[in-house]
Amino acid sequence: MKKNDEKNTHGFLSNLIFMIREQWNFEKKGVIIPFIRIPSDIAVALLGVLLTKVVLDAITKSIPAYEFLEQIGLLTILLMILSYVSYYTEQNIYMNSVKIWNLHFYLKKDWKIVDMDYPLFASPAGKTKIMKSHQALNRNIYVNMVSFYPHFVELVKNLFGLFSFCAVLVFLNPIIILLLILSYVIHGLVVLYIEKWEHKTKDERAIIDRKLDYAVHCTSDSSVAKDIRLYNMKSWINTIAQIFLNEKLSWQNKIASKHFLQSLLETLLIFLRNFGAYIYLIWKVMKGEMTIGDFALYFGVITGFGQWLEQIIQRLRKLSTANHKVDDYRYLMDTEDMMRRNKGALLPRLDEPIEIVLENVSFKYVGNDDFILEKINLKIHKGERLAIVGSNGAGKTTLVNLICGLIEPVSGRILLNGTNINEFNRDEYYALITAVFQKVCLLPASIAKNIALRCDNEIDWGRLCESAEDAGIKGKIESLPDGFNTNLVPSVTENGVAFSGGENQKLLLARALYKDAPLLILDEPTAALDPIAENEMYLKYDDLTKNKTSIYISHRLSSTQFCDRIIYLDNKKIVETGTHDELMTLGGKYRQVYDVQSQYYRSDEEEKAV
Amino acid sequence: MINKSIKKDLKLIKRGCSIIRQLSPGQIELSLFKSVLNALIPYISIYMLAVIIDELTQNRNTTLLAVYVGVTCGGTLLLMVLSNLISKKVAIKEGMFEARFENYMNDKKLSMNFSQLEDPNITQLREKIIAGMFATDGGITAIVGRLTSIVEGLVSVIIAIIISYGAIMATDSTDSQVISVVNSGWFSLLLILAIVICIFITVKNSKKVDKKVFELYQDGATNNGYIEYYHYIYLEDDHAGKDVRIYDQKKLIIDEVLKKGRLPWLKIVNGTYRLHQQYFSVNLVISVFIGGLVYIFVGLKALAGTISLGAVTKTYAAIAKLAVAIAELSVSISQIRSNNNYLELLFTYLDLPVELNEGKEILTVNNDEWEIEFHNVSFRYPSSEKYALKNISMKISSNSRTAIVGMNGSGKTTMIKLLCRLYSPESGYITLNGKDIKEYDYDAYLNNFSVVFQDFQLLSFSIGQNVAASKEYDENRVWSALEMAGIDDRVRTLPLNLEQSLYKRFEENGIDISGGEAQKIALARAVYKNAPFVILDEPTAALDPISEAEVYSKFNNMVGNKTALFISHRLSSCRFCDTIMVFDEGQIIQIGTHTELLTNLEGKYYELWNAQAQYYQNKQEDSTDLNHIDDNEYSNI
Repeated sequence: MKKNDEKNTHGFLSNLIFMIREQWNFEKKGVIIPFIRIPSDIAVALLGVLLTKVVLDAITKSIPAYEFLEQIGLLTILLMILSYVSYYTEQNIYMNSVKIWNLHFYLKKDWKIVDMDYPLFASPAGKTKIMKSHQALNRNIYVNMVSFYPHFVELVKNLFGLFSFCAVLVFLNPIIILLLILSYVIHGLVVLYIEKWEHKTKDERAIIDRKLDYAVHCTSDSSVAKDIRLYNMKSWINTIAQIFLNEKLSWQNKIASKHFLQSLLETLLIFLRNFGAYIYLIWKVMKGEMTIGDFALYFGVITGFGQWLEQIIQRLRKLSTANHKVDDYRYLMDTEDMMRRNKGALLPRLDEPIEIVLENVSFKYVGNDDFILEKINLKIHKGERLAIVGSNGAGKTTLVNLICGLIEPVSGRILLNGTNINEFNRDEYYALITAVFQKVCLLPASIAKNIALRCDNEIDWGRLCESAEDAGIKGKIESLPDGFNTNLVPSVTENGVAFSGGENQKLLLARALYKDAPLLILDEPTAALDPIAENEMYLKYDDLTKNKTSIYISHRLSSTQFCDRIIYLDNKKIVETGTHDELMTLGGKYRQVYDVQSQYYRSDEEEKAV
Repeated sequence: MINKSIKKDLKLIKRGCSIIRQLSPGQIELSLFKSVLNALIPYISIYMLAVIIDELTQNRNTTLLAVYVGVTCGGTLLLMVLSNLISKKVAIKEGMFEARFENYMNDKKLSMNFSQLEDPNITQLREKIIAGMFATDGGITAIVGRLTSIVEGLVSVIIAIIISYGAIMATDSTDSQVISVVNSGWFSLLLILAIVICIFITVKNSKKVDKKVFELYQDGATNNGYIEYYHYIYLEDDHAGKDVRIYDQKKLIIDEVLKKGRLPWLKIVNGTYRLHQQYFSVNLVISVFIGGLVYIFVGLKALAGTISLGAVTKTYAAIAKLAVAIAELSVSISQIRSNNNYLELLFTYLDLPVELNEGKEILTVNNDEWEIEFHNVSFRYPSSEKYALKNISMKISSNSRTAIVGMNGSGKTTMIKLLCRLYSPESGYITLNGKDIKEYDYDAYLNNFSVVFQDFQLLSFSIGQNVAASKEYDENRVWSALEMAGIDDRVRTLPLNLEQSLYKRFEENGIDISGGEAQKIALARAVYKNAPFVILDEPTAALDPISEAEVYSKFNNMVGNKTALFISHRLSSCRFCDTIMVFDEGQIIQIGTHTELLTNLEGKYYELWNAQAQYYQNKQEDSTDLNHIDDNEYSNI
């Protein structure tokens, strides 16, 4: 097992320091403003109960009308100002939260996802981290990790509020404070128990939600829609959706029952609190120890005290949820890259072909016993055009991923012009490679951005046109009303267009040509092209690879004939290597596959001869 | 005019309610009942506290006081327990509603015409509905919430007026000058006027905020799409992850996410808070002001001895609640009406006509006597000027094997889509055994086709279910279908065999399979269906040469005595077929057998064939000079 230094929990204090530091570095006022609200909010609460007492006392004492006017007027104005300040700052707190949420935490998380080492990113553990950090940040600022600091400040406020009301109650009877706190401790324990239960069952419920979500949304792709109709899959999908709807319902029932018990307890507590307060205060008034004004004041304070306590419990609960989410976020952010990120070896010139040497390279995935490649030795010469052939799953793509530096060999080493590639700075090394991978991944942005993969102001338009031209897609692009500014991914962008499979493949080629690096890798670049376009591509291949080292992967063996050398991958190893003619003469695996593929293209006479 | 729009609004709400009733019976009724209780509960304490204070200042009857306290606390307890009970039931229904509604929407989508699914206008409509639901809490989910707050507000307003009416209107003729002013009807009117003005401003502010927030969210729908796409599709995708690193897309992606997703979203959300800050803070100040005003007014009356102390507290509390309730009521009413914009979108969507599926005739399956004929069929995709198919006329009869070849975009797949009634021809018609295919029952008609599309999809459920396209499946038949497709050995090595789920989107222990393996499973699905008409669109594109050869050699077996239609870029496959049709720019330009077509050296088929075949013929002699292949070499084929 790999040694694991990462912690997935940090503890409350560490998270508090983390969140304050993040806020402080992002915007200092976000740390301070929440505290302004504390005194104004507590004053509003105190003045609220005081106002009633003043009114009632004034009436019982029959003070003069103008004096009454003066007192109430003054108190009202004070309350108006303080309420305003309290509300105004509350909105400021929300705005700060939204700001740091969108402009800091989300972007930092996104950056981490695109910046972390590829093996970490693509591993199941990495996927879990990414998913958890998503969940830490999605939904709204009242419940996600951003709510941590505001909830904390609110908790501080509630504690101060509680103390201030305590101070009033001490004059009445300290025992009341004890009773109230005791009752709410019981309530608090129940709330925390439920919170814990919810956190514990969170993953279990998330699985059901995810499955239900899939069953309901698996149809979102219109290519599925064809299959659904032709194979009448509607009832299949509905059955599965129904199963998980029922499971969700049973969870909802459990949750609702727990919450019902909790609210029942709360209701009972409020009943006891009010009942006790009434009896005690009425008794005091009857004994003549208390005016009606005091009666109203203390009743208000007891209720208020309860509400502070209630608030504290609520905040603790929310804070605990937010605390988990901060952990989840930090879990991703703390992931440390293994590849070289600091200054590495000096890069070779970008305008000269490079040499790649694989020495005894083996690879397997972490936690998997089976090797995908075993002891591969291969030298790709400067400017060589290498073809990689082999059956589905023979490890061709893995080999390319290794050369690209996306994944690292388990043993053996890969040298570029004699330097081990792990001695280069990771990102600088990528500059040496341009690649067309099999799967088409497009950005919901303009065609220009999709080819250049740079922000608008960094795009070299001349080169862009040239690359599109060479890839044979320029005509198509220029036939669109907005030309290179036309958006792709129509499901997201306005007036976006969708290209056909063949056009997408040409777009990816344009992307590779635009980058123009010394090593060109093409992974099945013609699978979706018609014969004519495929042939055009072959004829251009010479031009495309001029002054470059290139690697070409294809199932169509016709394409291998204009490569300088072919390697045949089978069963984790390179089993044959040579030119087309050499391999044909050798009469091994390659010959066998070539014969299988070519038999249909030969005339009957030739077929008999073979 | 106004009357008419109210009528229309009510009609929309009514229809929304009937959908909610259908999906979640009892939710509306229970929620409304709960809102009445919630409105009622605080007034018990407000009213009874006044009674207790009055008793304390006057008679101080112990028994009566005990009864009052009992009524206050007991009554509140009783109603709150009842409210909790209903809350529990409502919470379950609310928790389920979103999923139920999505399932309902999905059901609609599953039964929709395919052409509608691909129609960008309809896609946009659906996006708007979903975005409205999640971003702005608009649409069907909002109805119950708005209705309950209207009811709660109404009940609250009525009780507040009843409670405060007595104290405010109380007059008494006394001699003192100050007191007579306080007790005059004019004074009461003045107070009412002041309250009305204050509430009026409050309501206006609330409505203004509501309207502006609605406007803010109006163009928020597409922004949300960007965020969703990046977070759930692009950033999590392993393949995209490779592109991102090799092409150093980091800066571009963060820039796009920021500009197209985060900043617009920030503008909307913080715009909302800023509006709250601007207007609701004023409302809050006004409500405090009303409170003070009421205290002064009733306090002066109490000083004059016109009303009791209890009346002072309850009037103050009631008016304070009144101001809040009216503001909320007005907002809720305007919200439920603006929410109708979302409802209208939803109903437009639900009411989309289903035109292709209207045929009634049940087709009898018979392998021997088939004839499909295209009669002058032309077709353009919606929102496209160019004809994808133009005046296609052709015949496909039973027991035949037809290959369709042509360049990208020549209309091959479109022809299949029309045949499968995913689209209907713009002009011309297609017949099956002489009858327009539209007249057959849709499901029964499609039952006769086993199709593997180029962009086929497998779902993340188990392999067995995928092959059978249903929850239940016949294991033996699934195995033989897998064998026919040449993937049975691979499935047998899997720990769960047929129960093994594909990919990881549904089951965490699902396995990732290669494109070639997926294609074989899709083939097995077509075999399992065992329909008399087999259509394969590029069935071997992702397969390596050996697997490709395997599929070809099993092709005869798979098709048996069925009718087969075959699209491929690898022309070698055409040699299996009796007839080859060459498509070019939406038209059939050549029909014939492989040998026939190759004799025409000017023809498209020859060009296509040669583009590929040159690399496989007489290689040893001719491997260096690709660009100059002597046509004559092949002319004798």
